[in-house]
Amino acid sequence: MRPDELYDRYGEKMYHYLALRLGSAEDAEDVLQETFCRLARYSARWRLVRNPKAFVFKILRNEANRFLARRIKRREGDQAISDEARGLAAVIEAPADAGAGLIIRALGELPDEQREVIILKVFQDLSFKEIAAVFGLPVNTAASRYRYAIEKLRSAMEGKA
Amino acid sequence: MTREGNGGIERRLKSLTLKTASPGLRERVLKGAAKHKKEAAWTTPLLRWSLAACAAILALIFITDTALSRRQQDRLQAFMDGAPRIEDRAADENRVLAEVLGEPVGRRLFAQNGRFAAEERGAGQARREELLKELLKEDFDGSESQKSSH
Repeated sequence: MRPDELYDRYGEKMYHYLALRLGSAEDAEDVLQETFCRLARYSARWRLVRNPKAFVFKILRNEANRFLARRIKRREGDQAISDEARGLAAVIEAPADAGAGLIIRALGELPDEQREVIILKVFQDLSFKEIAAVFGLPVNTAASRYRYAIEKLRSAMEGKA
Repeated sequence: MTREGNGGIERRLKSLTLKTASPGLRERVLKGAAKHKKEAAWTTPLLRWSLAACAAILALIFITDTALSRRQQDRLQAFMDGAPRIEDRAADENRVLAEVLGEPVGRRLFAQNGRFAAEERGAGQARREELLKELLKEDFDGSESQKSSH
């Protein structure tokens, strides 16, 4: 697959995934650039890839994890992860109602692995099978993480509503 | 109730609008990727390892083949020159020694020569010379003659 074709198909979704995970538009752009460089190196392997979407998001996730690891190294402990939660508001358009504001806050308070499943399922339209391939987990585990995350969001909404 | 509640959460999440990327990002990303691809090595890590392994195997084959050819050539040369085989030479020497020196001394020398012949078969030129010196030293050693004089 040519890079321009790849960008037209997945570029926007990749950017949104990174923006939601990293909580910063600038960082998302940098990591997207790095990911495309990596994908350009893997161009010879494209013929072997059975599910391009899962493959692209796996590479993207690895790149995002590498970036977060560098960020954690630069700063202290888990502060980098909590920055993501605070940054969610920066990449989501200002909500029209209070309920939307609450759900963004609740989303930011989810554990990283659960928030990631929500991002991939709800915002990127990946199936559980694709999410499982991205995480390298069984499909049931991916589905369970999603279910737990939705339950937490629901209870957070009910508790604060 | 729960399912409806969960469905409502999903709908609420889907209703959130994500901010679009800054204009010109597509061009920047594609330009960077094209530049990187141009500069990047054409090999993958797996291909590099495979090439290194192939090179090592080829080198091993070349070295082994050269050594075997040289050995074969030496043997052929020896055959063409009419030189007797080491085993035959040792057997002849043993026979003569047994005849000249009698049974007990001959047997000892027979065993000694057998050992030297075996070592000589597997030894290089330097070691052969060393063995020969050792053999000569033992043959003309003063202690041997002193032992026999006692």
